[in-house]
Amino acid sequence: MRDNTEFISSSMEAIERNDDLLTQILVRVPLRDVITFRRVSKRWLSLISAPYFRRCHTSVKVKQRVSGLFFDFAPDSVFHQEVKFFYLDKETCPSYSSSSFSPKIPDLGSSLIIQSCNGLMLLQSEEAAFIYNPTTGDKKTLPSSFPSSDPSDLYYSLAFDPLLFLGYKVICIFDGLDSKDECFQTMIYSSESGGWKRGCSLPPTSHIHFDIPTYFKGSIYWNGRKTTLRFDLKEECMKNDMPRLPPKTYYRTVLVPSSGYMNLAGFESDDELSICIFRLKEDYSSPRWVHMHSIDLLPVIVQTAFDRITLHEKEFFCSVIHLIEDHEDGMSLLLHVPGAVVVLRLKDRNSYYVSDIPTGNEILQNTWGWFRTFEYMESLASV
Amino acid sequence: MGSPLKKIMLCSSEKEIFSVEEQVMVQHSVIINNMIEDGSYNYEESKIPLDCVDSKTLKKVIDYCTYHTHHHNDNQEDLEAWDAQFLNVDSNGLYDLLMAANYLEIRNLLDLIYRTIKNMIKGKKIDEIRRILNIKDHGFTPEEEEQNRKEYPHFY
Repeated sequence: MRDNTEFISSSMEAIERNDDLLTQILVRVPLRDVITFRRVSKRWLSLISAPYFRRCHTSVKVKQRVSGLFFDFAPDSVFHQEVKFFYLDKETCPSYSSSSFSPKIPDLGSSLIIQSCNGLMLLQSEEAAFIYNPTTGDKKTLPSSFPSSDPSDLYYSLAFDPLLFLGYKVICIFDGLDSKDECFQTMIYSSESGGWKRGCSLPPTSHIHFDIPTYFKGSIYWNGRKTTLRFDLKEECMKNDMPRLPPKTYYRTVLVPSSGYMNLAGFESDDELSICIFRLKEDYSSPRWVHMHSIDLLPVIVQTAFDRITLHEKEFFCSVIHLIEDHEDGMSLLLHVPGAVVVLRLKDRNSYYVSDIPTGNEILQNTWGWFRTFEYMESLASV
Repeated sequence: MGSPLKKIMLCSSEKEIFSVEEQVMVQHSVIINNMIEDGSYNYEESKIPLDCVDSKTLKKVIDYCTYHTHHHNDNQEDLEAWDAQFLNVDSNGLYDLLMAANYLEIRNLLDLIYRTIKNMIKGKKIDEIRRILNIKDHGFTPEEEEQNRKEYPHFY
């Protein structure tokens, strides 16, 4: 009975013309469609852009999935990023997909991606920090946090978690080690108040990677050489209550929330080609790192070498880039092996080729570099 | 005689009177629940006038509320199958139902209709949406429209 001509009726037009009814329908539409539908008409665009709509849409969603990765192919560079986008397909293997939807990579001419958190991104340039939404392309410059200080001494991190609190928060850490106070100072920005306020200061702590923040369940984490610092967003205070990092994992570790836990992946030592994965368990009084997996990298490297390149180097240059959660709550490791990026599924230890490391730069191809990746989630969140 | 079930009277736009179990309407319609609770309904004399709901639509609405009152323990699949059959109406009928459910504040029926309309437009391209909903004036300037089509050809 139903055919397309029948839909072209005055009654459907009447629904379309009613802002309230149309909003109620559009909040139920999947986010990808909402993004497309912004171009149906000026009116749809203004309805979808309204804060009320964004709040409704965010609250309808229960748990968001990571749908892709922004991959930075310029490792360890303080000045430059080369970012490509990969989709995560059902097998949780990143690929260049032909899907019609794709997020907007931010303009990295003068700024760098610092962090990605539940659909929003934190960017930093020499002058300022920005909040960016790669789904909508909206960008906002944050007001200055420590106006009189050198911006290169400032470390920013982002917390955005619609299920826990409204809006987003940004923590700025000022490295005041050279000043007479000899401490780190913190400032906290809240998008709800639109301003910065002073947070606690903390005693000098050496070798904390404040440039690599990780958000997880109400706290921001930074790894150091031997320990992990945590900023509690509820108490708005820095905590040093994390267990020490497991021995031997002191170099090139990554912190990744996945499957509802905080995970830690790193090499067992500098010489061995063995990766360990730990999970933070809090079932007893104090949290501890529990060993989950040990992975021998040699088979992965040999397979990749056979598949992709000829190995002529004596040394193998590898690094752990990320952990990816798949649909059955299993995990995969995203690895940099000589010349390529591969995914290693922990369940069956199968590895899948993802991408070459861009050629033309021998150092880049065989570097000890620390490649980084930033998760992408679709979100209409306001910046 | 005396039925144990209290009845209330609803009056359609054609002045046709429908007698319904009170419980059926109170459970589903926020408006009718409020009327009964604040005592403004007189069981001897009152008829609730629904001037914007025609008889055909009112009958459908009462069917929906009655079924869901008596079958709320059924399993989810059976209820969904019944709902799908219930909403197998033309788009005018769907619109009338939406307006009636909106007026009477029948939340689960409203949600069902919203979801049905959502499924009509989900995954569609912009040109299809404009055709389905008969949107002739999109409000973009020719330059903006051209720019959008150039930038996002797969959306159209």
